[in-house]
Amino acid sequence: MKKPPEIDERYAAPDAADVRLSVRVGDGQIGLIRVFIGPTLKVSAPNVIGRLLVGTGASLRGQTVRVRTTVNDVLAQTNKMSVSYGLEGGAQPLDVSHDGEVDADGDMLLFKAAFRMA
Amino acid sequence: MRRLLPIALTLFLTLTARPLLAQAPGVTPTAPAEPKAVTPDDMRAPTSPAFALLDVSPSSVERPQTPKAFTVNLISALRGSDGLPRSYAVEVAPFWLTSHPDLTFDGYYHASVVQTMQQTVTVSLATTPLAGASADQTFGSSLGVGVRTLLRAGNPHPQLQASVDELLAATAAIATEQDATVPLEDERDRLRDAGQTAAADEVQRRIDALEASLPKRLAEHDRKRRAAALRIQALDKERVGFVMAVAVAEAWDFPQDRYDQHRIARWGAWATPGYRALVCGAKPGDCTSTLDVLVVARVLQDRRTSTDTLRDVGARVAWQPVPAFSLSFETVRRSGGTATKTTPDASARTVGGFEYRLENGMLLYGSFGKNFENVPGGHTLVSLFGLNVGFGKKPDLKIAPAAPTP
Repeated sequence: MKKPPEIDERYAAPDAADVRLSVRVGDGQIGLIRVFIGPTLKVSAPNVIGRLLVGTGASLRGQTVRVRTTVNDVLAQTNKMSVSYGLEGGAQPLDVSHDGEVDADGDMLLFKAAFRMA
Repeated sequence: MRRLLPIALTLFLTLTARPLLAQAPGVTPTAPAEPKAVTPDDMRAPTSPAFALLDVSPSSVERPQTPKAFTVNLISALRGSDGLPRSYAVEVAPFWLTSHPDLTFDGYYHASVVQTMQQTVTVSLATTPLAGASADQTFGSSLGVGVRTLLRAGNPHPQLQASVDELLAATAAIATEQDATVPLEDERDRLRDAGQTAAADEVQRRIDALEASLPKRLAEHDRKRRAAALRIQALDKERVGFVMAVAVAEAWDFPQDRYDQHRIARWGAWATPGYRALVCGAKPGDCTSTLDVLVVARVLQDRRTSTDTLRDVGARVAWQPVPAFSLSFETVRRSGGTATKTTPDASARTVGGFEYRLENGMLLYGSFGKNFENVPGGHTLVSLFGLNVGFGKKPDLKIAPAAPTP
């Protein structure tokens, strides 16, 4: 099993800017994505979250946006898994991803990402 | 008493290949190499065309899933032999050798024709010893290479969404437990940012303890989750709607294992469009009322025996209106062979059949039609009726426990 490395990134956005988050489960697998702002669950959705408004730059300052995705191996062709993230609203958009691989068909992996809003 | 034996007795009421035409006196039947009694199912685009062309069913097929594994595999096969490795089989799905972060589950199921071809293409390669004059003699090697892909992969199985929902429900239950550490992680990070390292470490220990206890607490949810995930994998192989597979393959012989003596031994091309309709209930596997239509076209040349190019076209329709009863009809036409040039009618097979599952495991079946004329003037009637009588799986008699040994 290849566990995915945890993503830990800082992201800065102007006070008035809307910060939007996109998350995608790749490699044709099925995953349940949860987005937390601080300790609070904001959204839970399967496979894809597109341009979710997580808040303004001012409201998020000092907070951590955490994304947890539990990915299931549902394809016989591959045991590879990946989760990609996109953040926009700051001076530059941020695109990061991480991947993992399970040993046996039907296994699952937990992907963790944290975005510290500056 | 009829359930005493866990075996089935098959009673055949068989009138197989009864001659319609008497053989002409003085004609010595010969055994022509073709036409063979192929059926549409035999003519499907093979999963591994290279193996099919070499007539091999390798007991061990290498299926590397990464470029590194593929390279290592190939190098080790070449190193382990003096030249071309004999009795080697490998099958690779190039698309799946690398990761595809942009490919979502929906994207996988709703792929364009080009994307479907990429996702489903497989390359098979096999080598076998080239048989000599006697069975235990070899005087070289044969190499086969084949490619197979789907132009259309069909629509999702009707029960796929129910399995996906079941998987997500089990995953949500697991996620609730997994996410119990999120508030602690948030607290840990705040303590670290405030420079309270010892307190942060203490919270980290609580996180570690919580995560260590997860597998035991999640066992039941994980069992349901895994079952649903594996069911989704299985349903991917049972798609409905329009499916079209194509394959090509070529095999070469290398007498004396010399490259300069290589020659094309066989080549073939297959196209298999098909359509499948299915009506399913809510329970897994509860599917009835199926209609399967399969059209097959195949071109084959076996240069070891002839320079003729055989062209086969066939179709099969199977209808199962209720689980207990099914009807089928199939027809195959072959052209291009020597025998078919002289007697074109010899190259057709048209057969209809039925199956009716009676109570107590009994199966009534039959088929009727015209077969290939393998021998000039030989039997061409297919007339097969049978009753398969099952005796059940559970014995009525209780078996006494073995007497205790002194």
